[in-house]
Amino acid sequence: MSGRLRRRYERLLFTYPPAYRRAHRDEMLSTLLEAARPDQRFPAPRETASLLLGGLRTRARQAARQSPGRLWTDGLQLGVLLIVLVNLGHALRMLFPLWIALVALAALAVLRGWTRTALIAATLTALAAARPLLPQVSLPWWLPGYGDWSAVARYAVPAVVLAVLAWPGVGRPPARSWWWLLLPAAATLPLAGDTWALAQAGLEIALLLGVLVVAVAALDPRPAVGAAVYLAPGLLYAAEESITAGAPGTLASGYRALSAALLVALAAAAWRIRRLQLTRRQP
Amino acid sequence: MSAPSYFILAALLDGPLHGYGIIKQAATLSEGRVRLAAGTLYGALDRLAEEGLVLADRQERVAGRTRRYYRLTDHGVQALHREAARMDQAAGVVTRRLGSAATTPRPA
Repeated sequence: MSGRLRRRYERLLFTYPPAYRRAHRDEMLSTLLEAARPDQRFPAPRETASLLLGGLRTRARQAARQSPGRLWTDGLQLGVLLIVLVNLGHALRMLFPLWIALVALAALAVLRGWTRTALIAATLTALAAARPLLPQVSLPWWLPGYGDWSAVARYAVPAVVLAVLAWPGVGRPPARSWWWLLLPAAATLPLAGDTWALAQAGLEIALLLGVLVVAVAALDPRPAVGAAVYLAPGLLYAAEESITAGAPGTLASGYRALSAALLVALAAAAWRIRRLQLTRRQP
Repeated sequence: MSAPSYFILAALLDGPLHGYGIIKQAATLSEGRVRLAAGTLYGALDRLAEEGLVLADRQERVAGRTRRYYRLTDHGVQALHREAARMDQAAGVVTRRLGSAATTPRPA
């Protein structure tokens, strides 16, 4: 019984930063188990709320100690990671093995924090995607191309952001967990059709709203910066399509308006959080 | 100083305590008004340690469970005394006025 409760409490401790968890996990679990009733099987609601909030606050304190440069680096890398993982999900549905390999290399390099390798792979994918629009660029036939600039945005934005991250003097971003690879894996599920596309868009908006809430609760601008970068290619696409193809349907318009509002809210939250951290640092 | 921080420091006045010991002692001292959840306790302990008011004293294993003991620093004892004096003075402002109001007849 105690083992099961211990595992459930242990899962809740994942809201805390990894280094903090390593240092305090055992003593916190001991305290939680000593405070539990003998027949208790599930974490008490007030302990659950307290651990979730405590984890976010600990992250906030750690984020406040980071240098502004490091926060931007981490946030930008997080945004690029999201884009390249979604790109990998799209690539896995295509029948271009070498294209898949190139997109996968970009994703892997961003995931592990290898900025220069990621920049090379992302630049190649951006050039390959833009091939029909660049007659002077000669690329092999085994790479797919896109017919308009806006669709190229989701390959070009990572290349541009990675060029910033690879700039001399900019710190190396951290290696991220392998769990992130579940994102492109989920994109390979055999789901298609308007209903699925609508559910996917709704889920995306809900997740990004969740990111906004977490960023504000944890006073950590990084998730907000990452989510804002992630939204950028989609909005570039929407802007270009609105100009060339006219106004879209009600649902698409609603999705785009929500995405644009979220982008503004995320950027404002990131800026406000950083200002607040700097104000608190002053004696 | 927040109520949880005050009662955590007060709980440590008699000597080092581990996490659950602090929770029990804070509840006793506050007559059940301060019931610390683990997330609140460790968040407060981190802040108090950063401010140099408490210190991790030692660690031991009892019945397979890890217990880390915390103790007050000299700076922590002083901070607790200052806070107690401040609250005593603040309480006095109200209790003296309430006392004098009770003895002064109110105009009809």
